[in-house]
Amino acid sequence: MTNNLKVWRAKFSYTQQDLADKIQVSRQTINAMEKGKYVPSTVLALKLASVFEVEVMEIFNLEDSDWN
Amino acid sequence: MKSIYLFPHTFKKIGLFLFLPCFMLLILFQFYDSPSFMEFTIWTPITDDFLTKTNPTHWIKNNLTDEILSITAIIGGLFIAFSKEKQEDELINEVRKSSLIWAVYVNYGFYILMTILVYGFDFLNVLLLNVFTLLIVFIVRFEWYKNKLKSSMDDE
Repeated sequence: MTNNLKVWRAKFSYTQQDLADKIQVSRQTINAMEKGKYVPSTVLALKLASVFEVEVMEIFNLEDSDWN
Repeated sequence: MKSIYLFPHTFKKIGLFLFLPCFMLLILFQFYDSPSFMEFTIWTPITDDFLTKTNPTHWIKNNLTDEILSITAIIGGLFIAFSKEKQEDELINEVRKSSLIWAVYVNYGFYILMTILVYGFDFLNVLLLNVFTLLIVFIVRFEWYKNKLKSSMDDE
């Protein structure tokens, strides 16, 4: 799964800490998600979508390898 | 989502304070005699003449040093291992879970290896150590991974 969290964060000029505070996680979690090292739960994905006021699929995208 | 109960964050320090001295003393008393003032007559549900060398009643003489030390060390270890982080979230929960699986593997790996290598009464010492390997491996793996997460942020 890929995501463009970093892009959305830049659009809103949030720091990692700003975003972390908004969705009640640690900065490490934001960092791990941006680097593609952590796939968040549905709840967290929906929270992120609601912070940026977009659909989840505008932030997260499935890759071909996710189907294997 | 509700997760399994974890102790408050401050318990981590309390745990460290209980675990370290008790664990070190426990190892020390494997080599030196336990203090005699810790000798008590206590009740036990199991009477085994071989171990207690006493009568068939349920009252036996026993030195309580190792019992008290190991119980305190285990409780301290549990506090260190299962206290909440400052910022408790789903990533840290994931790290905790994977560390636990890791610790179970290493714990039994150690046990199997020692079963092959150590025989006789020395095996009792292995069992004593084995009580703590699960907790210690868990704590080391968990803290190491947390550090890894932190240090991977520094390039931001």
